[in-house]
Amino acid sequence: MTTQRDPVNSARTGLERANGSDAATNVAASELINILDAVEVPVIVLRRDSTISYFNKAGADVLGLSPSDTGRASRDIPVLAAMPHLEKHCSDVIAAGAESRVNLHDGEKWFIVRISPHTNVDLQITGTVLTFTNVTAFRASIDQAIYEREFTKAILNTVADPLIVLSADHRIQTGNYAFYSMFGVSRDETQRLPLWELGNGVLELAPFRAHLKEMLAVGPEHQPVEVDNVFTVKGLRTLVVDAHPLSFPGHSERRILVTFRDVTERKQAEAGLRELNESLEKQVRIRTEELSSIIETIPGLVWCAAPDGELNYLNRRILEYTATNADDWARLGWTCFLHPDDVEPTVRAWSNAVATGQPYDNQIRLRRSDGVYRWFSVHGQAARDSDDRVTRWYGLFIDICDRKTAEEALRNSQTQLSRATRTATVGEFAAAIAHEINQPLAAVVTNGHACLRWLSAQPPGLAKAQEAAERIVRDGTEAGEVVRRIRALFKHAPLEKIELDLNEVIAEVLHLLSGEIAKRRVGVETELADDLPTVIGDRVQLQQLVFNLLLNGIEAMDPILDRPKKLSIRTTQENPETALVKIQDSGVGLEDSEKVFEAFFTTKGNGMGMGLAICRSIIDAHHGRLWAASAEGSGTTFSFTLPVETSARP
Amino acid sequence: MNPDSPIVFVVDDDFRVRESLCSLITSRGLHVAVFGSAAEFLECEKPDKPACLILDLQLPGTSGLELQHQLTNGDAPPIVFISGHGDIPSSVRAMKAGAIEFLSKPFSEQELMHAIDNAITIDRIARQKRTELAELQRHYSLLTPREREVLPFVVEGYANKVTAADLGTSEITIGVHRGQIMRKMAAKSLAELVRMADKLGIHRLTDPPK
Repeated sequence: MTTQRDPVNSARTGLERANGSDAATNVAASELINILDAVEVPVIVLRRDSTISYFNKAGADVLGLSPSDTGRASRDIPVLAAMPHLEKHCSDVIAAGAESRVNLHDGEKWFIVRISPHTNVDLQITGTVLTFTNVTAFRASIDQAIYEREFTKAILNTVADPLIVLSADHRIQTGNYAFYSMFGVSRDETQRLPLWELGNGVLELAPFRAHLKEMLAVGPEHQPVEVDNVFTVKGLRTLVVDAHPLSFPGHSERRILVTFRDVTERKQAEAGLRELNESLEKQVRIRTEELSSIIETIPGLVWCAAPDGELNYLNRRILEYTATNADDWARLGWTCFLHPDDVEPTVRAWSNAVATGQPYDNQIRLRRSDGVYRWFSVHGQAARDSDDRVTRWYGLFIDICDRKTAEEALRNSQTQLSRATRTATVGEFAAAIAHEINQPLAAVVTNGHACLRWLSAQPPGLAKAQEAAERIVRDGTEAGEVVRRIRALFKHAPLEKIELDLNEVIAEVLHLLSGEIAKRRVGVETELADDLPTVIGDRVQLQQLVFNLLLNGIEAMDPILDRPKKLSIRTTQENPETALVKIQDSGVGLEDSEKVFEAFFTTKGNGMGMGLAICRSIIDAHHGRLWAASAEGSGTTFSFTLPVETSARP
Repeated sequence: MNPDSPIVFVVDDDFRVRESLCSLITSRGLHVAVFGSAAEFLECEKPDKPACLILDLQLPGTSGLELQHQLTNGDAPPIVFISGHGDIPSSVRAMKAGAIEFLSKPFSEQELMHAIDNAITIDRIARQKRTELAELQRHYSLLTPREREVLPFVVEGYANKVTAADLGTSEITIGVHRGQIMRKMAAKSLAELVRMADKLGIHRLTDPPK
């Protein structure tokens, strides 16, 4: 308690000195001291010499003074020494008679220290009174507010969209970094600038202003507006401008937040996307039209059917061909367009295809608009999904009428052709015959002359004459033999099938062709099976067959200059039922081994293209087979088989 | 048989034709040599006497026309073609290529002998021409280069004076050359020298003197 006493005494001493010493004053002074001790604000009274004359209880508690500090110089008290120039402040206050304030920072605490003159009862200034107002909490809240403001500012400045705050009279108060950057202006030059003067004529702001004015006039119900503006720094940009009223509780002042959102890139991307979309749509449209046009104009009749076989699409060609429309088909049914004879087999085949999912192939007659039935080849193919279920049938009619007619005509004329070419080959025979007969005949004539010469010589060369005469007989006989063979060849005997030795037929024809073979310098090799069984056939026809094949081989080698011309003929028994003949040349080979048998097909400059067609008809008449194949190395092999005479076999 | 009598070559692949021709031609007092192919004929050494060749158009291996083509050098015998079925294009080709005759089999003795006689006569003349020409060439080879230079002036009838002026020498020198030329060529007259030059194919002056 002693610590309580001293300040009181000290105060009392002061008061006593000021007011004199009487009991009533003492009581009042004590009360005053009590009051001062009840005040939580520290109070210190300094004398003119800056020694402490009094401090109240709060001074002791808050500033940590002790009773012994009374009378000590203020500079010796640490908490007072922390206030710079305190003595000077005090002497200024005493000199001026007016109070002043200084700040005191004591540890974590902040005080505002009011220094006021201390006067005695005579109104003489005897010292100073220091009152300490604790402002620590207040200061913290100010710090917090500053921090919050800076934080907000930092956030605003990192926002990429420009923002400005306008006063109620539309003057710019502040903006974020993005705003100053976008508009190319500085904070200083826009401060308090009416918004409408923004840009100072450099920016194309006229439409922008108009929109903004309108928006601000409308108030909270406005819609954001989109404006295009040319900026010196960034060029033409599209901005979405929006305005929001700002109000602060307890503040009557209203402000407006204006935000700008740069949507140029987004707009461009949207435009690009739109363009891409349109181009894709266009492509799809073109492609679809193309496909549709292909299907409609393809020179074929295209149809589609449902998995159950129900026709559901017919292309234009079909409708044009029948001069109908799709409804007619739906109404009448497709069978009514078929030839009556084709309906039943077609329905059966189609039902079967639909049931099994197998490709559908058929030949039908379809009625044209003029009532004519034309032949069509029909092909249907099932389209399937990933589970192998039929999703649709796609089909095609192909007009084969002309081909079919031609085939028929060809078949009809086959026999006529055969007859015609028999005559045609006579010319070819004639050349061979001429050579065959000429050689012995020439020898006969020359020998005859020689014989006469020897006989008429002096003396007669009888031996020589005899030799010549013998040669005449020999060669004349041979010529006669040739004639006999030829007559046999041309004999107009009715076609009769007799037992024939194929080897013999080949030898006869080879003999006939020997002139041609020599003339064209062809080497002939024969390999004829000794035990070849006889065949049944018409001699003349088979001779003609062999003749044609051999001549064909010989002629095929005409262009050969760089290698020997070789014709080889082999006969073998292929199996118990058939004999096989192979004729191989070393010519240029075949391009199409089937086409050569067609009538009027020829690769020769002067050929009729009949020879091989005749061969085929002869072979057909004899129930044999005839085919051609490219030979090993070069050339072509023609092969034919004929049935052997089985009853002649043991 | 006179060993100097002409020889007839026969090329035909048909032995019957060879036999009969051999017999007939021998009966007419001519030598005969027969061959089965062009190759056989080409291989054979030919005697140096008037000859003719009877050639079959269709031969195995080298054909008659091909053989004719190969025999284009100067001393080959004239050719008589024979053919079993003579086609017109072949005969035209054969005649164009210088054949004497083209006979179709069978042919008569007269036709054949006429053709052979013709051919042999033609060969005789040709052989004589070849001999003459060889002689001339031998004479010509005796001339000096300068004399060969002077020869064209002489046969063109230029005076020695003109020739001398053109060749840049004296009239007398030209006169000496001229005498040498006449002697070496064994020409009895200027007219004969002109004919010789013609046969030798000595060309006229390309750049006659003014």
